[in-house]
Amino acid sequence: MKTAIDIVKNIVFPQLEKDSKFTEQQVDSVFWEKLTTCLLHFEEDAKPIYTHIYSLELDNPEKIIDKLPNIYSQYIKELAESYVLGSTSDATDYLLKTNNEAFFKEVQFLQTMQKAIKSVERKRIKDNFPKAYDRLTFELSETDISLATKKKGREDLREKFKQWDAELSEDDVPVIVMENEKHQKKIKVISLSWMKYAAAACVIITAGIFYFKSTDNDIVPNQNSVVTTPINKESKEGNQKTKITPARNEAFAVVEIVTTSKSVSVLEPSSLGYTANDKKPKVTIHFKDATQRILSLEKILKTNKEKLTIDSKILNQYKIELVQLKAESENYLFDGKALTLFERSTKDCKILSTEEQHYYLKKEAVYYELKISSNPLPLKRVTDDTIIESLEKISFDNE
Amino acid sequence: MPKITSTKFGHLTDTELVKLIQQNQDYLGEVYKRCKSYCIQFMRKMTNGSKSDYELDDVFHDSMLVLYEKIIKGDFELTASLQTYLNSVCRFQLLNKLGKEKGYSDYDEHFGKDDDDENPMSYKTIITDCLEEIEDPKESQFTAIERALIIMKDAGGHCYELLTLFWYHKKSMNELTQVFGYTNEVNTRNQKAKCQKRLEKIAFNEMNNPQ
Repeated sequence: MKTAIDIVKNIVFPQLEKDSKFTEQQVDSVFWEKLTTCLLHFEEDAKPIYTHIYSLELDNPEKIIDKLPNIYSQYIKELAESYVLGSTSDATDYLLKTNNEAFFKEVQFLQTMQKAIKSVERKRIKDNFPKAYDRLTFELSETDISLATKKKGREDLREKFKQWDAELSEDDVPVIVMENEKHQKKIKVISLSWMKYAAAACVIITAGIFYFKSTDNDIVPNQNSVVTTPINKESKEGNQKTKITPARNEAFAVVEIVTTSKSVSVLEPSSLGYTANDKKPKVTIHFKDATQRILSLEKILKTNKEKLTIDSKILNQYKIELVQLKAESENYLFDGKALTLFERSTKDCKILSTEEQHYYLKKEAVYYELKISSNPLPLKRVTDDTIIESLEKISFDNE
Repeated sequence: MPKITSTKFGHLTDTELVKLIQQNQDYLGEVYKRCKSYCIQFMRKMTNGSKSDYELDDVFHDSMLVLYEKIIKGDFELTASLQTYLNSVCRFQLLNKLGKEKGYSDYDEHFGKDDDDENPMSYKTIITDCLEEIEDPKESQFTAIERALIIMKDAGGHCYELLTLFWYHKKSMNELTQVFGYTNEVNTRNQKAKCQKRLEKIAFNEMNNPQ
């Protein structure tokens, strides 16, 4: 009966504890034994258990009584489980003798479940036999763990940077709005009634100037009607030619390289002792965007291949320039004070320098090594984890 | 003679290994490494090479399960070396499974080395442990619960592990509380009850809507 009593205690005690008038002294071993027997006969006769509960003089005995069907069901289930696991008691003997339907149903389910678990688990263990030894001997070295955590930490930090960037850009929006609002408030309504007179005056003045200019040009050659030489014709033709030339150039227009510059402070390690007031060294970044020029050159070369309209010397120059521009596109030129990048201007560009005075470019979260040279050098991505970490620290410290 | 590779836990005695297996089934891997080759060789001789390696592997795996289930039951006493025990179980499994076929019953006459425990090819005829067959009269319910368990296992979470540790690996509530980091045994019991209820639900669905 001990197993059954323990089960009842485990189920009923937490319920009794909730009552304000319940004290542990009210329930002794005799109480639990009697309650266990009464609960076993709950389906046949519920009165003894009701009396037993009322004898405790609880504040709200009905609350416990209402829960008795559930308590009984749980009790039967737990008895069934202990029976399936191999422990028998007077309670289980009674239930077996009386052919308790709920008990039998539960026992049958649990036995089937136990067999199913055995079957599935046997298959799993069999499949895992060859791996069991490897699992047992598998060890992660301190280095592996530290490398993995470092990598994860870095990824998390990058995520945070992105999040902060997003927050920063969100923070910017209200400032602009406020400025606009302020600006809008300052606008005064200006009366435009005088504008019509001003417009009329402008029209008259423009017309007058136009008339004066046009008559002035026409009159001069006609002043000497005798001297109507071919020189004038030639000069006219010549004028026409010079007017045509730009038109031809427009058809084969070579777009200029767009150059933009910005000055940025060099981000240095905080350990160097700079404060916010210290003058930080600056580097001017020149962005030479030749994308459109390359496109235009390509277009010209392609068109010329079909129509052969451009002089071969110019064409060769274009070809050489195109090759040079393409080669330059992934290069940089750095003299310690100015950095030239042959690409479109990017907002997210920072220059960092380490304690050893090594310069690095941070462009869209990627670090590139910078070397002082008079010739353009190819941009080399930093792959060394230690360097990246120290650069990230510098970048983070200067945020 | 099969080549025995030195293992990381080669220094452990058989009795120590049995105790460790009770706590962590992965130690079966050590037994597997130590005993497999001799068991297979033993069975190969017994069957005169008439059985494929695949079949012999299967018998060996079953014998490992016999050993494991004996250990977790709690009343296992090792009276010989693990190699001898497994040889005996493999022999009995083979006799049980294939003994009806001609030839295997004469095996005892070829190998009479019951008392030589040092010999990796020895076995004891008194050991008649074999893998208990799983049969269930209510086959549909059994299949449904089996499927429900696989669903539970594939879904992740701790229910499958909790139920198998309790019902198959015979772990106590106290051990489960420690394994899963629950605050007390009552919580573990409640968790187990919830998992069982979930299994019942999935099995019911499987029974009524078999795919």
